[in-house]
Amino acid sequence: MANTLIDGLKERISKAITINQSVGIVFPGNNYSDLVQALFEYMYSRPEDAWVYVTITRPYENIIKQFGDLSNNKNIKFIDCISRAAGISKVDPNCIFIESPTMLEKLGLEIINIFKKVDEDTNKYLIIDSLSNLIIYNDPEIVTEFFYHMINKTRVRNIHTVTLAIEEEVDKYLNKLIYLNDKILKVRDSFI
Amino acid sequence: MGKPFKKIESGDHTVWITQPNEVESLLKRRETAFNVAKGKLADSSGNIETVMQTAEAFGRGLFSDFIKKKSDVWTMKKWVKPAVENVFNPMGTAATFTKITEDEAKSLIFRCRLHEESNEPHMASLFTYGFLRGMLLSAFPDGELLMGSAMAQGAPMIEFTFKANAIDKDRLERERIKKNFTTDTKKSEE
Repeated sequence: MANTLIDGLKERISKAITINQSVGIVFPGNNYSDLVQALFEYMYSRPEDAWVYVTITRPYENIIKQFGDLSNNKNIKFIDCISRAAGISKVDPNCIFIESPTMLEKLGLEIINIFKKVDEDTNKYLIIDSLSNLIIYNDPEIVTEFFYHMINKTRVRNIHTVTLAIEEEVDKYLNKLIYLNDKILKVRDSFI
Repeated sequence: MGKPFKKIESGDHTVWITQPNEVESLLKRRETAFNVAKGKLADSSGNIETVMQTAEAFGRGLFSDFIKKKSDVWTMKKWVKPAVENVFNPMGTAATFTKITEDEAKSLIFRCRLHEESNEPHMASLFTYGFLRGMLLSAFPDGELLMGSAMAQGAPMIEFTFKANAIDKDRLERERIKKNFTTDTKKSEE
């Protein structure tokens, strides 16, 4: 069952991300593990592309525990916005640690800096995990401003974005933000 | 020991993040209690109530040893601080508190060592619920612990609402949790 779900998600993500510049994925909280698994499998299957995975949901060390050593996947870079705030002092060359999830200007700069080092011809993808969590730590108006800027910046630089949002936490702010994307995927077991 | 929380502010918005700082003796104590609960589950042919009772007793013990002396009259604000400082942080639990008032607190646990190390996510979620409930009800006999989402069920975080005074609907929560985890825990035990 889990494999079918993950394969179905991978297929939908693959189709949406290829055609659209920005994709928002709204999913029930209990499908988080499957969705992230599908995203990682998709990233592994595209080693020629450049990926930046921004985590505000879980510390980078948890991602490593789940998916193993990612140091061989040089095309996947991480930005961890939560570890330092929780006093977790792990260091990893594959990951940039931001002091606080409220430092959105720094987050934006780090994202663009990573992509600046990537060849123009390479496909570039940004994953934000998740908008729901950005809103937990930040004033929703500030997140709105950040997300507008981010979407515009990535469009100009031809960076595809995938933004996650947990369905149960979608409020008026999140709803407005998620619809800034070109395509919305609503994850339901029965849709896959 | 440092401050139990880091306060994070953005505009009018404030949350508090725990500062995990593992203490081996407490981790060992939890591991022992968790193993006792697993043993009782096996001996009772999968009776979830035994896990809940063991976990709650463990939580009451933690309250007695690490929290009780901090106050005679409890409010949620008074309870959260020593609970985080003396239990959450030494157990390596990373959580964001999105609300702390005199009678209610809400937390999202995003790093739980028991989940990471036990390889039994359903047992770990059930046990975590049980011991936190034991800790809470020791201070607030009329309170209740509500569980919104669980890592064991695929969510990225465990969501807890700590209530000093339960309403009628809240009083069904313990049974709801037991029912939710009954099938899953039996499966992982097999």
